[in-house]
Amino acid sequence: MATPTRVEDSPHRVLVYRVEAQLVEVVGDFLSDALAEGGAAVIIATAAHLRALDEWVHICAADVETTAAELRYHRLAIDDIAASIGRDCDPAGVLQDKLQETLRQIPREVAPVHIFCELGAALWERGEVTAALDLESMSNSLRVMQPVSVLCAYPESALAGMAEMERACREHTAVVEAPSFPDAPAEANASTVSAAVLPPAPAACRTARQLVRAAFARDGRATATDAAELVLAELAANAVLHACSTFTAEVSFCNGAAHLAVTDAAPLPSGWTGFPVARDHGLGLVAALANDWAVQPLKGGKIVWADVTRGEI
Amino acid sequence: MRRKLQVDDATVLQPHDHVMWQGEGDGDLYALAGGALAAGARRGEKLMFVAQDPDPARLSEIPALDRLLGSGQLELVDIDAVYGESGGESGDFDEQRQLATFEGVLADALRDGYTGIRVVADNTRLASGDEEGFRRWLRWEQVTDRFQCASGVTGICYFDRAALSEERMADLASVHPVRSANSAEPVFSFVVDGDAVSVTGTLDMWSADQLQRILDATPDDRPLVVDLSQTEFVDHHALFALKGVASESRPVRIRRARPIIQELASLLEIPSPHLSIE
Repeated sequence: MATPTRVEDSPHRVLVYRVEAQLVEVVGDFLSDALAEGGAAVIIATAAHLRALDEWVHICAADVETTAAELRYHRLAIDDIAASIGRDCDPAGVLQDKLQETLRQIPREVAPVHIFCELGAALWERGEVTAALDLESMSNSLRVMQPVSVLCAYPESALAGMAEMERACREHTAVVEAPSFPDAPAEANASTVSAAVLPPAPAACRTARQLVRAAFARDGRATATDAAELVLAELAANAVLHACSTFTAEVSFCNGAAHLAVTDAAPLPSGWTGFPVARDHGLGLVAALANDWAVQPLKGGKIVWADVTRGEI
Repeated sequence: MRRKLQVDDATVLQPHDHVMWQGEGDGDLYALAGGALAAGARRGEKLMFVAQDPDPARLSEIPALDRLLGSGQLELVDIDAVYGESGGESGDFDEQRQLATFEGVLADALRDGYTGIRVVADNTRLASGDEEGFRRWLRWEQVTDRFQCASGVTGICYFDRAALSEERMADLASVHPVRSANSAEPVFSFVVDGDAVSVTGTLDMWSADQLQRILDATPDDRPLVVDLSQTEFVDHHALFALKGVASESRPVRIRRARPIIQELASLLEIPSPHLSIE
């Protein structure tokens, strides 16, 4: 079982992550903590991360539409901010203006305020390291002026080696340890249609099922929706109940089958020879409904997948 | 098809609605009663307000209140007079006797020219007993749901959420087709529609305990017909639970299940002499 990583109220922290699941777990909990306490969350992230964090927060803390209506949940897309940064503009100044405007909307009595920002990472990835560092300085100034807690995140891939990683981390007051999560297997399917990073909570199983519905609706030809939904729900339930870890759920179409996969951060025990597959248990049903299925150990976790072929896919 | 919805306005309630209205304290109860009973008066219904020491002075927003009380169209009834002094807590609550009482009230009302009956009742205390008392209350809710589905009755059950656990509120929400807008959406609903119990929502591992509690309280005086056509998702836990309550004296018939549910049931050998899937 992975140790949950919590970002306590702290001025300006940074997470350096290897896989998306680490980012979503740490940032999702950071934002959820603020909302659960009656505070506010501000997210400045890519469109994909905004969607993933919406999902996490919705399951762990609060209905995002309700909290947005209460002016406690604010989402700023990096692409939108980037669009307003002109050739001669200072990105830190633009972000500061946007942030101040957003913070003014949060009701005065609402606290704590947690801000997640990955604009620095986006600038760093584009080679605009000085601009990224200016932006981090601005965040340091902001938390002096206002009682906010700021969390930034950088993908390891954006930082060229240890020296850059140290340089990025130096601009922050603390470094958050990334939770353990396995890398995707080497032969990972590139044609994933629908995927999500989900917390180990019962409501996550419903989200996993919705991934199937969305993927099959998009595909248009597939008719095995109910069977695939049942199989992915079972795999997700096992991650919630037994792995008790953050997990990813993925749906893809490959070689005429719906490929359903759940990756979690609970490694198989040493000497593991297989899970019990009784007909009246969940995995027995997976085995009965799928053409093929398997459990594959990964470093720091495992992936359980099943292929379902019914009708035309 | 019977309507299943959430409402934030008690004046829109209509015959066949079996309502769970949640609030906090007497203020919410009397606000509900005022709106719902006034709407019932406009419909020409016989009206009953069942509460602990009901106070007419707090219903003054109902137009022509004195006339309604004087004519007997509106009756204020102490809860002990309806459910006995124990209020069902000690297990002496008899749902068949209670049903006969309401059937009599309805018959009298129709004979007297009313269009139906409307009952607003503070049921908080009745749902606050021990486990067995609550199971009996859940059974009564299912008995009266069948009665209200088939007759011109508007039954509005008020529950004070401060006095009941979240688990009990969730169970109660599942057996009422209409709920106040401030109540959480139940994971599934289990309400009478025609000659079957219509299930909506999700029946899975996480709702299995709740389904079991409701099935344990389901009246066993006739076959249980369960319509699964409106469910969002059903897994094997629900099928095992239904199989578990099927017996010779109370067979279970699953109706309009999607092909995957039928396939699942077949894989698990769920069908038995007492459980059939149609």
